[in-house]
Amino acid sequence: MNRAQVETAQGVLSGDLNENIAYFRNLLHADVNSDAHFRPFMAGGTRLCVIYIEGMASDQKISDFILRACAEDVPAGAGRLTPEALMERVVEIAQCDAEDRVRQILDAVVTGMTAVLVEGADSALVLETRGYPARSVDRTTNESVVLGAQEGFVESLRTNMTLLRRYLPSPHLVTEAMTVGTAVPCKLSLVYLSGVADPELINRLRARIKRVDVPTVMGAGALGQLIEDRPSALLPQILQTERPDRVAACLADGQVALLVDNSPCALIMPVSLFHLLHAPDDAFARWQYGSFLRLIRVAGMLLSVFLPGLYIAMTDYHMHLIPMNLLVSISEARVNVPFPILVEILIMEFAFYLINEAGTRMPRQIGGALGIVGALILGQAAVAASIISPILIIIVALTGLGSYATPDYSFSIALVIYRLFVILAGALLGLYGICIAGFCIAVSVCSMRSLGTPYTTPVAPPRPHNPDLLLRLPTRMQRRTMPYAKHPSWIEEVDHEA
Amino acid sequence: MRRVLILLILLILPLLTGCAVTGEVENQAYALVMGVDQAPAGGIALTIRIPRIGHRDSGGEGAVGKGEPYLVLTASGDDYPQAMEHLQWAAARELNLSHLNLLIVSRDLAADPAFPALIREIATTRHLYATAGFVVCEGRSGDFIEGQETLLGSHLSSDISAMFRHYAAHGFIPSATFADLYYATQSCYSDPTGLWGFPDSGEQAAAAVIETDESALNAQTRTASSRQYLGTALFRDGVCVGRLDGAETLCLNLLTRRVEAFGFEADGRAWALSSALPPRVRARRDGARMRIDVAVSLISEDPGDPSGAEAALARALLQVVDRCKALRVEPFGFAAKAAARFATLNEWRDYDWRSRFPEADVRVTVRIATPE
Amino acid sequence: MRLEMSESAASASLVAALTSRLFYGLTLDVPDAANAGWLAALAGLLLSLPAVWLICRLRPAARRALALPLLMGLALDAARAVECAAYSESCLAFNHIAPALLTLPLLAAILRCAWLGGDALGGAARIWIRLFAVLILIVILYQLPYYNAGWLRPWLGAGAGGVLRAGVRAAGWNALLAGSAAGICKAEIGFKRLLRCLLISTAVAAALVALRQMMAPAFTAEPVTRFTRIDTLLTNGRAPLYLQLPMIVAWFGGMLHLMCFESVAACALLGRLLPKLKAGACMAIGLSAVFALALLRAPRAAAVERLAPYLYHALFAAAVMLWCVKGGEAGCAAS
Repeated sequence: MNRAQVETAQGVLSGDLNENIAYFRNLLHADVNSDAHFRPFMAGGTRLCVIYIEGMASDQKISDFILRACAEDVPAGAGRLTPEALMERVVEIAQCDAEDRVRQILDAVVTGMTAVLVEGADSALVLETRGYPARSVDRTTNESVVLGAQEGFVESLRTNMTLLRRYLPSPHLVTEAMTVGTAVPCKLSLVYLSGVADPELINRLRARIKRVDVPTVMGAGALGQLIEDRPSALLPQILQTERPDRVAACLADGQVALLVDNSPCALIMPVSLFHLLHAPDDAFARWQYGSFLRLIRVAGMLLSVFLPGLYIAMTDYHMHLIPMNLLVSISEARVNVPFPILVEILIMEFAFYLINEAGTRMPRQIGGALGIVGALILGQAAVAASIISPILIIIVALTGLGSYATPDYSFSIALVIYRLFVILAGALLGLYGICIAGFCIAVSVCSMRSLGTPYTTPVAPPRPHNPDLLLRLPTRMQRRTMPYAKHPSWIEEVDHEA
Repeated sequence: MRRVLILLILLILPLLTGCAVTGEVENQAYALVMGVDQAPAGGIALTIRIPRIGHRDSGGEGAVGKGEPYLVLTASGDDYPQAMEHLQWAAARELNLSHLNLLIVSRDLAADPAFPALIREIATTRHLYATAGFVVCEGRSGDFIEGQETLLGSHLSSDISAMFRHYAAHGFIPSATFADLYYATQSCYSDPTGLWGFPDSGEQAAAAVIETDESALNAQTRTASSRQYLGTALFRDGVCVGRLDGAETLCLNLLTRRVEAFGFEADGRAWALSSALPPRVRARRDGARMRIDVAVSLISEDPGDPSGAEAALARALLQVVDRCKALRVEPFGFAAKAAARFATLNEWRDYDWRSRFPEADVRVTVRIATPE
Repeated sequence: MRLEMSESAASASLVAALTSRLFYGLTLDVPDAANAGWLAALAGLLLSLPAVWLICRLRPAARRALALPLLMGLALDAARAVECAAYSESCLAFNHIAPALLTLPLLAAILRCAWLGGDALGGAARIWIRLFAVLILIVILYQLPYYNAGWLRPWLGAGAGGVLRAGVRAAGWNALLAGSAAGICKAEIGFKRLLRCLLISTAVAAALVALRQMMAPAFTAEPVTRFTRIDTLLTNGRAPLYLQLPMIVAWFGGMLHLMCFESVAACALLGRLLPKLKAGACMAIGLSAVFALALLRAPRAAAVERLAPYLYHALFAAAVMLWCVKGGEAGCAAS
């Protein structure tokens, strides 16, 4: 729809059916659009017309609950029908509404609803007849867990809201419908627990969504980039998850979620650095297991950022920190390698990212071949050809494992970029450089905000919090909401307010 | 402004670093042992042993080396810095002393009055880095190093380290590092010690192992190497003035630290003893004299009346103290306790502990706990 | 770009920076106390209390006037810290590179951090304090068998005079950093809070100085060079060499926090002194001064070295004078 058409669509219906049909035919490009259907029919002497998009709306629902109902339930000579009369006496669809604004009717039709235009009426009946094909609720693909719920969000906003309601069957769960996109509206839902989430945060998010001034928003990822605090920052300031149970837990902690139509994930705000370290099933496991696994994960992430940098710093500048036997092994392994360690590391890192990226894009049928190519190139051929030393394979493999242990995909990509920064710092200045790089990263992270709240809350600035940051202590000690919630402990407050 | 800042940072960083002069790990010559001697023509001679990189099979082609797994290099100069410079040339790679395991000094050099200055020079021109052991050897340290038969370069460290750990647990060697020697020569506490090293000729080994359970001690000193490390070199003001043999070293260790296990012969029977705790040392001023009380608590695995052994061991310990008094050295660490009786370092230095130690009243009591 | 800090950020930054300043000052800058450096740290705390109390109770106008001596002291001290960090790196791995060149990456880092603002620095300090505790714990556990408590004796070290001299220097650093923290806080920072920060920093620094003293004895034979002092601080030759890794991280991390805190505080105080100056201009002027002083090695100049022991006297005198001229404010010290 171009700008002129958008402007035209701002009007209201006239009482002339033919004029209205022509109007909609024009807006929907019915001359060339083969799936835009206009089905005129008579009911009790009144001319009506059904408008729907084939495939988006269910033919069966239209036939059974609109056309047949009108034919059977409206007696001949019943007089002039109005949309209100149709809604009250004829149509057997629960969700229907009379609407006179062309723009609203058009938006409903293109999303799979059906509009019934009535001769002589300056409003139309909009009926819920959506019946497009959609993926059924399935296991999550990127956030798999060992314990806990397995189902993930799908592309249907309605299904996602239903999933969420199942996890949080509370009257306090609010799902505010909104749209973004000036030309092609994208439906989204602002979800929060009333009385738990801080109203100031909700208002802030509402305002940010309203400020979005782009013609189209293609999914949650694009929306997230438009409403985050600092687009130039490396770390994600919004948590994207495809798990309804995780969203439910965050809502219960006082955070706010956005569900976007056609996106199988939710955006959660505000988040802290610590959220990105937590995996969904930390809460399901007993606290000892959860804490242990979390420590392993954090160690993996630290390895992923600092290990190659430390390797290059120690082998180039601080050999005395490497035990002699290991030092001799490294030296022996590097004797025939023609490149400096920095180049060697960069080659390996590049090869690793390449295989990683290729593995993501490659069709599943030939995915196995990638493993063979990767193993051969990296593991055997490169060592045999003395392009790299065997010890470096261990370093890069450990680094890669650390990267994969990161629960959040965006966070893991950010860590990879930080890793390159640390590698360069280590290569240029040894441990001194790594300390400087680490310090700059720490200050930079502490300067970040998510939905206006400090990114390192509750450590900096310090706030009372549950013992659930690096270690997860017993569940009975987890009595607080997150520091940015409305109240420190929501259950009592919500009940009181209710 | 932000762009200018980022540009500035990007411009500054690469300009300033040592990336152009980094030393790759395989291009370094890691000295594992360094010997210091008086050069025949005067000056200083340095000998190092470095592992040959590329000797072992590294997985790459052509990596299997032949010949000796290590190199021994010698260079001399008018003084230590010049000798080191010559050694750098001889090494043909960048010489790296950060993994030095042993610093071996010939007895002649260690007994030279100029030795303390050399200690300072070594310490201040080279990082202390690794906990390099300090050895005083019979004869030239260069010959001593060349005669050291060990496996591949890197295994040298584990070989010798394991042996040292073993001996230290049994009290046959003192815990002597070059850093300890340096600190002791620069401060005002007890005198430092060094390990005593000698070629493994039967005659000298026997000379080093006297008293107590001689056969057991001899058995302990057998290694694959033709070099032995047993006993203690004693220093006074940074100059080597004497040595203690293996048995005396055991007594020295009993007076200073915990000894895991040792044998002692008294009243016609052998006692298997160990100390559970370090000895308790108390110092108090008795006029100008210092009185030192040392209580050594030991555990015996064998039952029986230990009073005879206690008295004999106390006598043996006191004999070592007297020996050190005669040499005017105090390697027992009593100084740190005695210093507590003074308010300031100046008062303590004025007291001149090292010269007063021979007058000190040292009393040793030994208690052996036996099983019921 | 906000150079001022919240109360909590200023407290965290003060603890991180002051601990580092006291430790490196008492081990490298002022060896007067010999093996009684830890006593000097405690003496410094006691001596600094009147000055810090006075600074806290000054009226805003008086405190603004105090910004001038504070920022001069901060610029010089930050430059000294920059130079020390570069020197220690030169000692560690870059002895073939002029230390002046090694200062530039540090200055770039300071610039970047100042740009991100005071609160970010405070947040990083809060995280650093936790990491620092872990690093020091690792170091202590590994060094445990090598500590020689005997090297702390005689307890008074170089004597009461030496301890007092070092204590006065420590008091100068306490007053300088605590006064600056009070000066750059968005809200009024209370004396009790500052006192808590001083207590924590002094306790940690005193413990670290004592532990360090138990690894290498006081040198009494002849004066030692700064190079040797740094060398024995980072590689004492007695503990396992791989321990140097946490020690290096702890050393440089602490130094970076000190440098950044002092530089940011200097810029913020400049803003207080000249309210019409924009934050960007304050940063440009303040950091340029620190850079210039560090690159010119001004803190090592003979005149500055001679004047350095009088930092505390100068700050105390300035506080007393301002108290008399502009008056103190009753009740502002409530925490």
